[in-house]
Amino acid sequence: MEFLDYTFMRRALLAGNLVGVIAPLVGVFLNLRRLSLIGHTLSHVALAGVALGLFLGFFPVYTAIIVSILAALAIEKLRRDYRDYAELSLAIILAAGLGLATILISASRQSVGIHSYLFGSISLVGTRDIYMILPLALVIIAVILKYYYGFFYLAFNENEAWLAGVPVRTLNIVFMVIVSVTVALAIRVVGTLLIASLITIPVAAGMQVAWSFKSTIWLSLLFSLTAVNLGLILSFYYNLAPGGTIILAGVVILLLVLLVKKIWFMLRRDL
Amino acid sequence: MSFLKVEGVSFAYRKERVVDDVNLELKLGDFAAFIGPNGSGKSTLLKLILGYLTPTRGEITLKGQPVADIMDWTRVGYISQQVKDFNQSFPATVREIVGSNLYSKMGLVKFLNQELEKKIYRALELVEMEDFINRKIGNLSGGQQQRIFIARLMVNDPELILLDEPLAGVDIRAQDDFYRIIGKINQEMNKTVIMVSHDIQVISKHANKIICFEGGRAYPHCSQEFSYDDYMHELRRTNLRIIPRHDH
Repeated sequence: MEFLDYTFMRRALLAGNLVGVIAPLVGVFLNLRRLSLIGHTLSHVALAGVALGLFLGFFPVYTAIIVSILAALAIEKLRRDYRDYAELSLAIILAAGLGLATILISASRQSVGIHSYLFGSISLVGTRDIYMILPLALVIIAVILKYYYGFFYLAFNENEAWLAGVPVRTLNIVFMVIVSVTVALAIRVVGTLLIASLITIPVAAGMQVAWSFKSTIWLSLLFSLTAVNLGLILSFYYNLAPGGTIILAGVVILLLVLLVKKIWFMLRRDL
Repeated sequence: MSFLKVEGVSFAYRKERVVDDVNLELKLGDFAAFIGPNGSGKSTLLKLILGYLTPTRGEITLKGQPVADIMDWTRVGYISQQVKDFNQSFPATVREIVGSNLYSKMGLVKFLNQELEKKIYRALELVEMEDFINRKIGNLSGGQQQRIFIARLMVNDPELILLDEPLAGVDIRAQDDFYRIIGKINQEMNKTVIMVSHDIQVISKHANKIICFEGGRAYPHCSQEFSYDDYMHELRRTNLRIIPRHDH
């Protein structure tokens, strides 16, 4: 447990575990609504927010949160207005975000720092990041608990949720805001390029073996936290990029889950 | 006082009249069947009664109250034609699916408590599916899923039940089960039911009112004017169009 002797590593583990909880929690609802591309789009927009922060000299996570919330609200509006072409609006916002990010990065003198936001950096998780991630992560968890069955209904059948008295429009906006904040907060740990995977992969593994909606959430959390801790510890000992190590750990978990499931079915068939 | 009253209701969609001056009255405990060819206005009238669409003319009242003023949607239970179009691999149990409809009855934090769990169990008992409470929805047959959706609707104890072609793609045995359960809800619980159907032969055995639709107009009590054979003959003769004998 040598890694726990280092302050930066303790901070990274705290930030990592908080992100490791909110990413799959939001991810379960996002993936079941077949909106996982939104996570991908918002991560590119968040990069533009980071670049804007670096360019203007603000703390980049602040600007990333604001820019991705604005983009998320725009996506929600486009998703309603162009129901049949939802992917098109995502592709446009993704491209615009990336274009803006590229220009701002090249215009900014601090372009060296962008590397840590692209791939994540454990040594750079500061106290300021913790003060930011901790309260916002708790708020996200509280919002999801409060509207649990509302989000559940939206995921199961968005068109008919109003029949049960679910405030569809309000909850959709609330949901988009928490997705964008989650994406922006995860930047420090896994980097903008890999956030979407942290939202998707643990949930994909959880869905393979879940027997209910609640169990999908618990299993996704288990797989996500395993991947985050394994990834961070391995990246400490072998000096690897933390984002990539976390995601690859997640992929290995997913493959193991698929393998165990396959063996289980084969054994059951033979019995 | 009539339970449900539809007075001179018209509805136009892009200037085309889909529902045309419909008048209709149902008593508490009625089982009404809406029959007629595709595009004759049956489903649209159902959506107007539900309050999902607003009539361009006329008024619909439920127990004397205009449906537009009803804020508590759970008073009217509705099963749409699209109810079966959900992701079959969605990882949710029967308990979670039925429970989600209790959203408006949940407290500040939207979770199920013991009292709501009891409601879920009773609704499942009603459709004889209580043993399936922990099963995944996608692992059930089409007929079983249909019964779960009835339970999901009944969990809120609605006053009026609207069913839009619930039997499309369901096999004969499951259809019998479905009618038996709807019959129980209609007769023993005295709930008013409106069901859209294509199968006049079967539904006329269960419903006490048959309302025929043609070109947006409704012809109440057409079964009293038409015998079943007459009706089928007219359907065949007019290439699946209904020609009522009298305009009411």
